[in-house]
Amino acid sequence: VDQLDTYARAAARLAGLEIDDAWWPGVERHLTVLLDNAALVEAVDLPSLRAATARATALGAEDRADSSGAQNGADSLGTQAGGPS
Amino acid sequence: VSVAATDAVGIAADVRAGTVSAVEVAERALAAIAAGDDAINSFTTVLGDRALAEAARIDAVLASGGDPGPLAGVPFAVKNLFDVAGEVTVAGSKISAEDPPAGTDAEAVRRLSQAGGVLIGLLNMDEYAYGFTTENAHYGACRNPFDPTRVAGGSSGGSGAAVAAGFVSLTLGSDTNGSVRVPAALCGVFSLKPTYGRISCRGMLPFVDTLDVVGAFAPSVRDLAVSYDLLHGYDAADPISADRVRDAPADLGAGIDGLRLAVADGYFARGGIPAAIEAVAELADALGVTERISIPHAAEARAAAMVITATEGAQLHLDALRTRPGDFDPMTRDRFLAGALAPARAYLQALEFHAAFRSRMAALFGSVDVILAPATPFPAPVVGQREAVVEGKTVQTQPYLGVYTQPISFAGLPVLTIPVTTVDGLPLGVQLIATHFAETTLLRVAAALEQRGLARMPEAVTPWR
Repeated sequence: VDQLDTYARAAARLAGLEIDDAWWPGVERHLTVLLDNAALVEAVDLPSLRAATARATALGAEDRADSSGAQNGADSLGTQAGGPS
Repeated sequence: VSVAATDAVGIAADVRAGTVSAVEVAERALAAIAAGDDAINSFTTVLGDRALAEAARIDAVLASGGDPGPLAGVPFAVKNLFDVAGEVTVAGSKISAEDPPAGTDAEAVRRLSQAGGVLIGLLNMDEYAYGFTTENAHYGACRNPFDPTRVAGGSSGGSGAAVAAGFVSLTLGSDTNGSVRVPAALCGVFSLKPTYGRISCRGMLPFVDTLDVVGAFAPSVRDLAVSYDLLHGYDAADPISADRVRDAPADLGAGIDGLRLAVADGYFARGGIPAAIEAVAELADALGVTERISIPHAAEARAAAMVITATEGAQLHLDALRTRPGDFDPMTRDRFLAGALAPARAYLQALEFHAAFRSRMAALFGSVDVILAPATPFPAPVVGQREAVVEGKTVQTQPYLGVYTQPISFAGLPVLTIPVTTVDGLPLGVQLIATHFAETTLLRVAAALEQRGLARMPEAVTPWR
């Protein structure tokens, strides 16, 4: 929390923001959530995600070619290629 | 009163047939708002003079044998972040209320007016569209017509409530993270959030350029179809407009045969109250849909949406955050300030993931046409409620309302929200999700569900109707 406070107050000074003392707890709470979200995004393996997209695109093209009369539930691609969610 | 008698298409038919004049329709709408909106607070500005003048013009066109357009005499209203000539675009804020009036109508407003629509007024919203409940510190909370002790949802809360209350049959809102879909679901009305870039945002005060879209609310699917047909299309003057040919009008009688439907699994099958999850399952059962599909990285998509929203939103309002932060709504101020302090790396990584996720979602639709998912994790919370318990865990009510909508808009996908059931008298909705630019497929499916009685607007307790 001290590190966050140090960072936040320095960033506020650099950005020219004058933040009322009463607002700091709320601002730092939201900044913590934002940084937690950023960490979640950073953990995504983008090369794997892009590879899954390429595989799904290829399979989807095959599926479309085979499914001129397709009915509901013709394929379960999404579960095959799904990553953590 | 049946929906067919009060929806936009029904009203336009009556006006064109001479059963009722456009002026009479406008007067009725204005009277309903005067009688009922003190309890709901969906309107922040009522444009009586403009509405009556426009209605008189419609009647004059009809009297001379002309065609005023498919929305002849239909009263509509818009979220107060759309420019309307002569009115200040307040965007739910105190700060922008000091701006000069807009010189011209926003493109979406212009298109509806040009088609015979009669603009009745401007609608309540969360400040600068940053919220899911429309509990606005400056203009008051917008209340839910099904229970005025509860919120209407947000940020386009006035847009959902005004249709649910029967004040108007067509409204416009904006959706960045769920701001059309959440209020539509909580207010029990239909909504269409199109593909990113499909409807011009020109003249709409932006919130997050990477995610913003214009969306519509209505009591029927045919109203959404007509409004989509009028609104969509490339606008060279809008930098985020998609340069793509227009769709042919949706075939609302085509049914769902041949379409591949699936239920969103995993992330979308948990995290809500049982009734919200069961609403999707019951709809799937009624349609014979057995396929389940997992949307990969949904939680990460929601997280990235929140990073991009906070940082882009803060950048947009940075001058005001520097000079007059005390004039922001406290509900938005702290989040904007946090966004202004975020490291650039967080934003850039979220943008990189955004592109990859959007492509991944497009590929997912190679094997399915429409995905069913819950719209909100629970029905409308009480005004002022800050926490809720879901699956034994305490969640922050306001941000959690977007748990099912944020991953979808992050991919830029079109979503049609349908009202499907009520729990303790409060509406719940389901998202119908399709691939990019497949709005007419969504309209086709929603029309089939409406015709089967599986999707319909519940009757709100509105004595002024």
